[in-house]
Amino acid sequence: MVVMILAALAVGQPPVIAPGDRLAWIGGALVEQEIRSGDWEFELTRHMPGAKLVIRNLGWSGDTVLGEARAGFGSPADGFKALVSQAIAAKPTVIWLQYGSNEAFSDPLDIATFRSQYEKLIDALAPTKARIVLVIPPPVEIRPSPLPDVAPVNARMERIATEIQSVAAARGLGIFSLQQLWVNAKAAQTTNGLQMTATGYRNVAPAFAKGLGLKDTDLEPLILQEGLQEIQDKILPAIGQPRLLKVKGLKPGTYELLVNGKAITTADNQAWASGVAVTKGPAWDQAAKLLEAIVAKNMLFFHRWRPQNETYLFGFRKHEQGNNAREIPQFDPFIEKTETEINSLSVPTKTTYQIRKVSS
Amino acid sequence: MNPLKILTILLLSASSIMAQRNFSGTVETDPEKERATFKMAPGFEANLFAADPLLAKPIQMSWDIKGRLWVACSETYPQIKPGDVAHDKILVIEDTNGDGKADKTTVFADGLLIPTGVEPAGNGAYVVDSTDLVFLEDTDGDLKADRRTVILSGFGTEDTHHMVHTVRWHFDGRLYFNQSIYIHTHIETPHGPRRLGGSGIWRFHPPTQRLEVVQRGLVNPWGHHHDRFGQSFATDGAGGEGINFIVPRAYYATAVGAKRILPGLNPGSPKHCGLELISGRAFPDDWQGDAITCDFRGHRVCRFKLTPDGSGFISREQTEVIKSDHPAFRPIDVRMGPDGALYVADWFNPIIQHGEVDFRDPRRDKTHGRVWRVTATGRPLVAEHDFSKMAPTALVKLLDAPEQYSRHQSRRALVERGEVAAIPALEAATEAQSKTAATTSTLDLLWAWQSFDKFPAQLVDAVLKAEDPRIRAAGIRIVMDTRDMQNGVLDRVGALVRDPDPRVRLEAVRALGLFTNSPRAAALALSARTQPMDKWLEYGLWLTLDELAPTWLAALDKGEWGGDVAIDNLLFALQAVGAQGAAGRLAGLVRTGKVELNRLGDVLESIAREGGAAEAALTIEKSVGSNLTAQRLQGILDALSRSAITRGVKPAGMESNLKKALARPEPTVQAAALRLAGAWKIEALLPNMVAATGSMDRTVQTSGIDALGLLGGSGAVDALVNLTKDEKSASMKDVLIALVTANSEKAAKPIATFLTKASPEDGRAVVDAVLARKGASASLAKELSGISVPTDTARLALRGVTGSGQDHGTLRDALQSAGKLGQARKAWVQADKAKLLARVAQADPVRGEAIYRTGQLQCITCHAVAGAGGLVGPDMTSIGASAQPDYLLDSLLEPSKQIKEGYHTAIVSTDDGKIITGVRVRQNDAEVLLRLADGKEVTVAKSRIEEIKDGKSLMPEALADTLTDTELADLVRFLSELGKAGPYAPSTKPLVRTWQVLEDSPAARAWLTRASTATPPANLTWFVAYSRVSGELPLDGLPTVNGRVVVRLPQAPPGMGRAKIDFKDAGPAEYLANGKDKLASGATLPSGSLIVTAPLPNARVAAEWQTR
Repeated sequence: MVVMILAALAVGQPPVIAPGDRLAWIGGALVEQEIRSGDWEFELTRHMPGAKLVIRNLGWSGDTVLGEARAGFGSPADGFKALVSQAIAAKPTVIWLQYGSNEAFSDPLDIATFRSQYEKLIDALAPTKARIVLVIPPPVEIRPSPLPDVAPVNARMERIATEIQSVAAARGLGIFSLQQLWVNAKAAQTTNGLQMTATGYRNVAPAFAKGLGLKDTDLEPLILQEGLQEIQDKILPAIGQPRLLKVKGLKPGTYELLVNGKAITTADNQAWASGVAVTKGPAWDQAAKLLEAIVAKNMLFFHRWRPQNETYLFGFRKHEQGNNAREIPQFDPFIEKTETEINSLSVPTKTTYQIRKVSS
Repeated sequence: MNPLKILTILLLSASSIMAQRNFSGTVETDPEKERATFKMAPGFEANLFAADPLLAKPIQMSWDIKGRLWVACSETYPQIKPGDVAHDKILVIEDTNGDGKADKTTVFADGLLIPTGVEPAGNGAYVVDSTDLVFLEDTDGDLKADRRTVILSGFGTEDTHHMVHTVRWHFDGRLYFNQSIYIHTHIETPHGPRRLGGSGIWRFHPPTQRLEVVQRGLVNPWGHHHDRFGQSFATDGAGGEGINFIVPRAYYATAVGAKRILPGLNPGSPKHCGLELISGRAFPDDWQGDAITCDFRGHRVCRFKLTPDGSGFISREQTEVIKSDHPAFRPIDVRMGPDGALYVADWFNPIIQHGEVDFRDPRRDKTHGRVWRVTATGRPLVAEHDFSKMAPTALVKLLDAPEQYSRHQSRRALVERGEVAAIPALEAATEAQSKTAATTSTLDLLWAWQSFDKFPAQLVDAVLKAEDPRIRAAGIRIVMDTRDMQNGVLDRVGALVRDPDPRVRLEAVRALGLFTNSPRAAALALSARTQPMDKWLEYGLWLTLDELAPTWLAALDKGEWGGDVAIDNLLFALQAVGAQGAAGRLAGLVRTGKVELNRLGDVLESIAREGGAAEAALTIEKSVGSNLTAQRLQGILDALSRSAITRGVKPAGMESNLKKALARPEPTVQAAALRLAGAWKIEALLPNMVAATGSMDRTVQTSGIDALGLLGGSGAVDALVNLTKDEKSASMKDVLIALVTANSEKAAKPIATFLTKASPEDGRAVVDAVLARKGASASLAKELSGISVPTDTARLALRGVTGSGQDHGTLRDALQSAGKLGQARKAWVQADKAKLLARVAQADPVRGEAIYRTGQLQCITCHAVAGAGGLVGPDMTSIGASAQPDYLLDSLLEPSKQIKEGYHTAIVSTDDGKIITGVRVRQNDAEVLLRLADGKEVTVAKSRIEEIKDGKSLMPEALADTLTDTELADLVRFLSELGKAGPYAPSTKPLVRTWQVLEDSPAARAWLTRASTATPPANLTWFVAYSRVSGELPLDGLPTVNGRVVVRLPQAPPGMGRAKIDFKDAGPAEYLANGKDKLASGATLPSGSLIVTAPLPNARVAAEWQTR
């Protein structure tokens, strides 16, 4: 089993994630909405098989470095307090801060205040003793009229990105960037420049992985020979990601591929020699299960940290229905169980490949 | 036939066993048996359209262009269980053979978490799924959602019956949805983040992603719809004012940050969910435009008639569409359907809500639900269309159909067909239309264009010039969507501010509030004042000036605005925006002599209310130097005192001005000046205050004492301590209240001494003052040890302590022992409660009502029924239909156990040592408004607040201790009858419920002896009396004057004329008009009429308003 070494942007910066890390991922809607697709977390998990990562998505739509969206009934200052205590409660070893998207809509942009508030947040997170990583958010995806022209917003976003880089450099923090998120996208990945389409997260997952510094070199073409062989892959494929299977030195004829005894595809010797792209089999099934488990875990954790009916469970009406708050920690064993499952699903299982001649 | 076993006995706690018994254990679930309980409006019938197992727990429903009913359902409500996967559904229900009964149900989507809203569009529907508004699509035609796209996210979930709901396309092609009071929403849009904390109505335009808040407030705005002319109305599932007329961007009760709010149209008519306006040929003519909504608590589908009144509306409740006593009939949504019938979603549940009833209460029904179909008996229905199959030209023809349903679906179908197909058809119709004067058809056509965000000039011109003012008003709202804030729109809308019709003026005034960059808009809005104003216009103009304030105030300061605005309008504008820095500008106008003498007093009072120290100095200087009336001067001095006390506004060097005021001959002015000297802490005037305490004039004397309390410091405290030495002083109560304000430590001992012989009322007043000072209650408790206080004095004082919302345990114990009251009667254990509840079914609700109204408890002074009574606690109308007897008993015994939303108290500590406890009515950046236990409202400046803590209920604990078990059972029985069918059901009749009764006094006796006029002199005292739930006012027991009871009719509600009088078991009566006229049952009398009769035993009077 190989654990990927993740690239950091500059020499000397701490890794943005490492085996055994508990990650608290904090930001606005783009972070929060990822919980339902799970595609980015899947990408990260599959590249670090068996690494026992614990990922806590603490995104909250509309949030800023002030914790504005987390204030509930309280004052803006309460939002900041909530942000810090949510991060601490997650007991992270690494924190990703993904802020700046909402600030970019302020015209004029008060970059000095943004920076000082950002630094105040970083300082306030010191008690977690976690490695802080700054994530540069993507620009607003450009969409045609009648959606608004976001060029001025993106110009301010650029300015914010520069500032985030400067903060990271000054403090020696890890950093990665999602600025290239839309660059290779073939179609629009968002409905409005911000909110992902049904498949948006998956479509840009490679760009996310690239921004994060994940290398995708391990899913190299598989070289097989005629007969039975046991293969232990290093990582799982992405959902629907084709893999090239090559078989050299076959005599003329048609050959069938069986994986764990199940027929997958058939091709002639020439096709096998140049490589056959395969998109199904136990590895893909396992990848699908892994993604499913990640989403299930995220939903369970969402009910745990941001339960509905907060007002009655923990808020100013807890003297009435606060007894029901006892149910909320009961999510923990379900989360832990799912996390164990995620970890074992992230490791590819040993697979038997068989190339068998079916006709001459 | 199909009774649902509510619980398994083994699982029960003692309290739920008890609750089950009171709930009779089973609910009749057979739809036919439920239907048999329906009392229908005359001429109407109901049939079952759909029921379980086809659907369970419907929340919102809406029809698509094919005539299929989409229903959002939740069995997970109120809270997902750990380990469960949410499995709530969107159903599509169809009546494929047109027999008025659903025969096909498809699960369109599953796996949702408490979907609180659904609105079909295209090949799917917009659905609210907890934090997200999603679009669920069927891409392969099997009527099952296979693609989920998040459209907007970031909606709050702080309360699952407050989450975004009432999702609905409106005439303008925008998607509207509402959120309730506890929700805090933060949405990221490409126009920037949009935030809303608290209740409000959102408006969303998917193609442009524009999202805006069009109304704020109401508690649970669970219904929203537009009338034929696009005017907007909302209902409130927890508020108490029936139908609300929604003025664009206005604030209503509970709105966060509101400075002023608008009331609803039906005060005293609580709890409505859903809203539909009757439209179409399947309903009789006199039903057209009537508002239908659901009183889910009282098992009623209600009908209100809306009639124009000035720029606003009057709403009058009519006989219910459906009325039932089935405990699980919970109508929650209403829609007109494709056949012209009215469809009612029935949530079917004995338990509503989860704030006061446990999330996991086993009585919650999770499996049933119905849709009822209401038709006029014998009246033909309308032909149904499949709008998805009609050609654009045919759809355009239906845009002005008689049925709103058809108008809506044809517009939706055009939108779904897309611009390429729809626009040519719209263009052709527009061409034809522009040859005639504007009618509703023109409006309908323009609304269709608006859905595409297009606004043909000829149609806009036509509607803005329409003969019908309602069309002109609608046109203004449309034209503001062009977002064309430059090209003449300001002038066109601005001109309509002077329209002859008040509704048009209101619409224009509100539209101007959107021109936030134009100082000219404010001047145009002010020109509305050249014509008659009403309460909606007054409010609308205030709001517009407030919205535009930053721009026109800045322009005013630069001298670029206001030159052409009449000084009277300028003063109005500045007074309207108040706290935004208007006081300084008003002061500038006073300084430069621009304010004429006839407005000076009024303007100075505004400045005194809102200004800072410099303005306060100017105010007093000008007021004592001008020849103002005593009343006006007193008003100004009192306003300055309030500003000093609440906002700390204290100018220096004001001694000589105050001396001038003190030199005025009027005692009221002297008294106000003394209080102000105390509030401003002018030490030099201490001798004047001390001297005043010996004044022969009671007002001056009391003010001297108050002033010493406000002044504080050793000199004042010594003077007050000195005054306590005269044990016979008639002012002792006032002295002690002042002393506790100035120094609670030194006040403790004299107060304890005072309590040993104080009357209950005086004792209570002093103890209340103690409760309002930080740390004072502990000092008093210490001094009370070993002292004996008269029992009644201790009891009343104790009621103040337990109803303070704060925890004063030591003082409570000290008073109990000083008054020898012993412990509270008993600690209620479950077995006692069970025993008492067992008696409720046989108890007497008539005696219970008497206890509610009179005696020690006087529940009605705090809790109104149908709007009659106090506002301190929740209105009790229909409480019995929603709350089980065990809950009612618990609330009487332990008032703080469950508190209704909106009645939680806040304990506010201020920087000057004061403690104020009350219900937070509203708050904004500058101040908090609290309603106190006595119903008074108090504003506290945020700058003075040190801490706000959550308090307990304002309802005194142990109130029920004064009752025998029989009386307590009677009271619970009465409460449990409220809202059930029978004598305590909510009445739709406009009954007189609040009366004035003449108090006995020498002046009253003298006047009644010689009374020959209906106009009584001003020196008589009247107190308020409330009718019974039945509407009857018992005459027996009311105060008499010369052996007669004199009751006065209140002011008629809007739209009502005279009241029809009905006597029961009464003796001869007279009506005081020009002389004394004999009065008999059946006579009608105008507002304010005086009725004189003898208080015979069991005599009652009732009155019902008649339409004007």
